[in-house]
Amino acid sequence: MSWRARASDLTWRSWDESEYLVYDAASGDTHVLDQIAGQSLRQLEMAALSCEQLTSRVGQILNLDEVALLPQIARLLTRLDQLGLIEPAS
Amino acid sequence: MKVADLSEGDLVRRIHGGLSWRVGPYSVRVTTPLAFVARELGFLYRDFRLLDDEHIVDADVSVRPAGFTGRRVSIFSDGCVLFGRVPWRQAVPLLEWTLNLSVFHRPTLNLLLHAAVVERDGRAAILPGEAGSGKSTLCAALVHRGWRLLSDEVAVIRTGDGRLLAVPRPVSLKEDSIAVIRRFAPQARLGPTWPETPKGSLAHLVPPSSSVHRMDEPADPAWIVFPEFHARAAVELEPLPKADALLHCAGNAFNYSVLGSEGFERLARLIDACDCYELLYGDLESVIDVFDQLQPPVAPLQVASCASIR
Repeated sequence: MSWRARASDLTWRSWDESEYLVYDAASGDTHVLDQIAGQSLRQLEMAALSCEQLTSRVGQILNLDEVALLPQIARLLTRLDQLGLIEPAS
Repeated sequence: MKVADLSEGDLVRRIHGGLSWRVGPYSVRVTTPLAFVARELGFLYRDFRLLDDEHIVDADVSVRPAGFTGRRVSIFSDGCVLFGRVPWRQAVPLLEWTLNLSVFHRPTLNLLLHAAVVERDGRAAILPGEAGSGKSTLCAALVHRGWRLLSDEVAVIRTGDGRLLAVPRPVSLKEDSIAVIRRFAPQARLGPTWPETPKGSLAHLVPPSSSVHRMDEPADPAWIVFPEFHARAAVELEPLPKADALLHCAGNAFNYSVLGSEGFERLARLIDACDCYELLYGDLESVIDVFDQLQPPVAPLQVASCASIR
């Protein structure tokens, strides 16, 4: 299954790139995303990706071990879906 | 003409039909036949300029006797009862709360935070906090040590330039903080202590005359300090990550969600402009020293990312 960012008006802020604040105008929610979550959502805004593809991209960007990262990304995708920030790509 | 220019007799007579004055960007009219309420308002708002009777106000509040014994009152805002048949000793505290509510819940494009605000040399410190955090006590102390009172209850962040507007209404002090401020600032003008209000014993600190005279001077935000009072605690001022500060401020905002993405942007710009701290204090003299040593924030760097994505 591939995922993509849900089409919405997101406003981003970051002061030190260890955390991202994201305001979702569609829901009125303000989200705090750590580095992994922030980079993941950024990637899903640019393209629809599977869990494995997303893991590879984020792992390269943040220089993280992809084997250890994969289950984190899987859990993260579930959470971002619950928050209404991503959706399955058709 | 200021409120203080009225004789007591004129004050009591005129407030029967309504007396209006402006506090910063907000104007109010209070109507009451109760002389003790009139006298107390005359004391608390002595330095404020009266408005014409025809002035259209933001809040129209009345305090009326309830029942036949004279021991209870009701408080109305824009014709609707907010506090019905409460003991007369709660009239003044509840009137002040009504005036607060009238400001907080009025539709506005300005961003409003539940916070005290003080200013020195054109730079303002915003003190967000819930009841019991010690922000009012700290605010009262600072305004008697060279800081100007902008507000005890609400930070009004002006649309457009993000400057802070002054709403220098009386400062509400509760329980032990009443005696603390009396000792700390013997020259402070406090009204009577009203017992058994919903928040315990309460007294009002008259805003310093200089703060009222300068209430049309906005200030630039420079510091956001989240206070927490613990008796006998040593002062600790710790930098707070800006992301955390934004979330805390959003939680203390009256209309953040109403303003939508514009509210987020404005709050983010406020955070950009300020150094943010958590403050633990237990002693007023020590905490005043800390505030006196605050340095102006360094000009903010370009933010790492700011994008509106559709």
